[in-house]
Amino acid sequence: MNPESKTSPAPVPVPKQAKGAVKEAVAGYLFAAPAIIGFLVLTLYPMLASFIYSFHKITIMSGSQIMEWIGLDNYIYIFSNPSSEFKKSITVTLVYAFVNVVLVIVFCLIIALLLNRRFIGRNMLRAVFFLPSVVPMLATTIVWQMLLQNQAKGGLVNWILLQLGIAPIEFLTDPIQIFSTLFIMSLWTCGGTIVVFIATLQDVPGELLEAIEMDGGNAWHKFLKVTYPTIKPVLFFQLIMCMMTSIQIYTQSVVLSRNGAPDRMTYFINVMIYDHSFVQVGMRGLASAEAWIVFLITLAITIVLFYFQGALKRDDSMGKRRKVRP
Amino acid sequence: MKVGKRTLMMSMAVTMALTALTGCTGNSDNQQGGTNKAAEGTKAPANAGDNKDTEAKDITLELLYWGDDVQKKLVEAATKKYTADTGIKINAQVLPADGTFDTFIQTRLQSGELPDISYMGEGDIQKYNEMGILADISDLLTDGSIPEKLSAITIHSPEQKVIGVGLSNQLELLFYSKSKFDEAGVAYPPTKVEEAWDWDTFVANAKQLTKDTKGKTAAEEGFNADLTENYGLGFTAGREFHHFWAANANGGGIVSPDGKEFQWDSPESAEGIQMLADLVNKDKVASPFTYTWSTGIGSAVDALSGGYAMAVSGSWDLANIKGNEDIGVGVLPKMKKAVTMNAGAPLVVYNTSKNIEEAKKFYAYMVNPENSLELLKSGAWLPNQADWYTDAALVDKWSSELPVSAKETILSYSTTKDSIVQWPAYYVPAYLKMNTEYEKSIDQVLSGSKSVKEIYDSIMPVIKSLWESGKVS
Repeated sequence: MNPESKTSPAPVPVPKQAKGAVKEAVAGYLFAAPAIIGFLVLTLYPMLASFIYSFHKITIMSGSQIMEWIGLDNYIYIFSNPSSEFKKSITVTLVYAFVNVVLVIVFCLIIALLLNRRFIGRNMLRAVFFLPSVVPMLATTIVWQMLLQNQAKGGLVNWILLQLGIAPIEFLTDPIQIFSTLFIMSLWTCGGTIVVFIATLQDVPGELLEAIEMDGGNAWHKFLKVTYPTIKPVLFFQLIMCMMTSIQIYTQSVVLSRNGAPDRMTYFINVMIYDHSFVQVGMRGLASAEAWIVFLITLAITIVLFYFQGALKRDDSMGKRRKVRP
Repeated sequence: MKVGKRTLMMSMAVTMALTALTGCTGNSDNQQGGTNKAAEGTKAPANAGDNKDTEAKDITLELLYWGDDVQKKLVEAATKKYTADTGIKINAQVLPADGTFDTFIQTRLQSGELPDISYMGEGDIQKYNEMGILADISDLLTDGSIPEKLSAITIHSPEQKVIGVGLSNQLELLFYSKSKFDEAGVAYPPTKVEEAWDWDTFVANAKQLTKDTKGKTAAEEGFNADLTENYGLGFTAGREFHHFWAANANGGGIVSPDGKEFQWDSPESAEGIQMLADLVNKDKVASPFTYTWSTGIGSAVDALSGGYAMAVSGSWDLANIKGNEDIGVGVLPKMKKAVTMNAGAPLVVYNTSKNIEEAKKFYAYMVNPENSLELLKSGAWLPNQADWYTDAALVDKWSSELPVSAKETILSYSTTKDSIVQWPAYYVPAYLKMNTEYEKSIDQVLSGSKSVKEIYDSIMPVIKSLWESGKVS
């Protein structure tokens, strides 16, 4: 007999439950692996690569990519070189994003409140508002472009205005009117948000609305005291999502002009970054620096929105009430 | 049973994980960009140049081009004929004729999988030349494989190597609606360069052809420009070649043909571009447009059947007016000189090709007008070879189905000295960046909010310094 065997502790049996937990965890990670690997390869790696690129000047010679370390030059160029269009591009992008968020949220909420009432043809109207959102943005933009173009080219809206003796509007060539065009298209395709709001409105407790009615409250009181506190979390979520998609606007600009016309008012940040990455020569490093600055700006906006999320949370009283609900 | 379930679960998870990675794998032979192919390409010709059937049958060349269904059919017919004649297979891939083509080339460049031959945007050729991926095709011209092409569409590198030949000699022309001219009692535009309307005549005629909703013309008292129903003139697009035409027509230019003199900032160029913008904002005879494709009038035939009496467009629109008796073609008006601009996408050979000699032979075949006769007859393309404009038999080959006015106009431009101005994109390395600087601000001129001079003061020093750099990047 081995003397050591006397002193060594007896093996502790691993409980069956623990073994099962480990196996379950391994299986869980394996199932999550595609997403994890996808994130590492398709998101994290490009992000880190673009961070490194942002400190380089990248050119292609004889088919090979040549990277030259230039330190902070790309970042300095963005903020100090008169040729840099970053400031104008980020300004038009943020102006569009903020106005668009307000318009979309208010418009969708109003439409959802109206479509939440009982009336004949309600379901058909819901479908009418939702349908445009299933059409690709590319097709939507082309259709609106055709509708809003100059009357001599066949633009229906301007032709109608002209027949009514009203001066046509330069929707596509005027630097200010182009925003009207973009907002029209945005509102046209916001059916998804309307559906989410309608679904949330189903959750508004009817007995509380009745109680306000019995107390002599009007529609505004009902909205302010019951509806709004109930839909706050969804409202916040939609606000964040709308802000993100608005900052990422790309298709409309490319279809309408490709180069930000009129007067670079549609030269949104993603269009500029794409342009610098794939159209211009030797600007890929600059595009990476621009992308990182945009990332930081977006992050800052999101943090601010999350800070205000507290104010948009569902009222405690509502939460408590729901808990005691049978 | 439990083991079976576990195994199934694990297999599924591993499969899913690998599936996610599948798209990330590439052709390991091509991971180093195009350099390997380039190296191979320089070694390959020694045995690839032979015409032995056995070797030729193993060679497949890849051609990347853009076009519509008609062009696709014609290119496919040409490549089939080439395969039948030589045994070399051609893998011809068509893409839409829009901005995605350049992106596609860039993607293929990144993955080290460039085609052997491709079409190329006029504005991009110097960019790719500076990247060092375009083959020198001077030898094809010197050894006679390609007969002498029009100088306006023969593209040189800064070192004077020939790097491409335009497939078509596209010209900027004046299209017009005969019925609208007849109704207004205005004579049709001339078809001879030497008879081109002077600017005042042109503007006066355009005013006669511009009408408001009450039927008053822009030449009459009481005309309400805000309620214009029919414009005298429209431009296909607000893009560069219309601007460059105006600069040249007024005695200025962009960069001299030898590339040695910067002319874009000259007073004549500024005045010419101002006269172009004035057609919209001062004379009120043209519809507003911006420096982009989409705010132009689009197809000339649609514009002329709609609210326009004249349309400045490229010769590619000739294919659309076939059979339309109402549309005529004339020469552009002159400011100080009667000129037109030329364009025409070149075909290029990539030096990354593994079979560069075969690629060059195929190139010579593709740029031969004889092999694009259907496109020439349709009017979509114009011949890229000088003798096709002077030899009567050759002229008949491509022009017999075109309207008489179109034929006369094209021949007049092609046979009148210095009446065709070459697009600077062909020979100015920094063109792309210079043009980007220009397009940043020129919309303010087109909208009438600033004058050309005001804009020039702020942008021309930068544009000139880019030209002086002599570099694309």
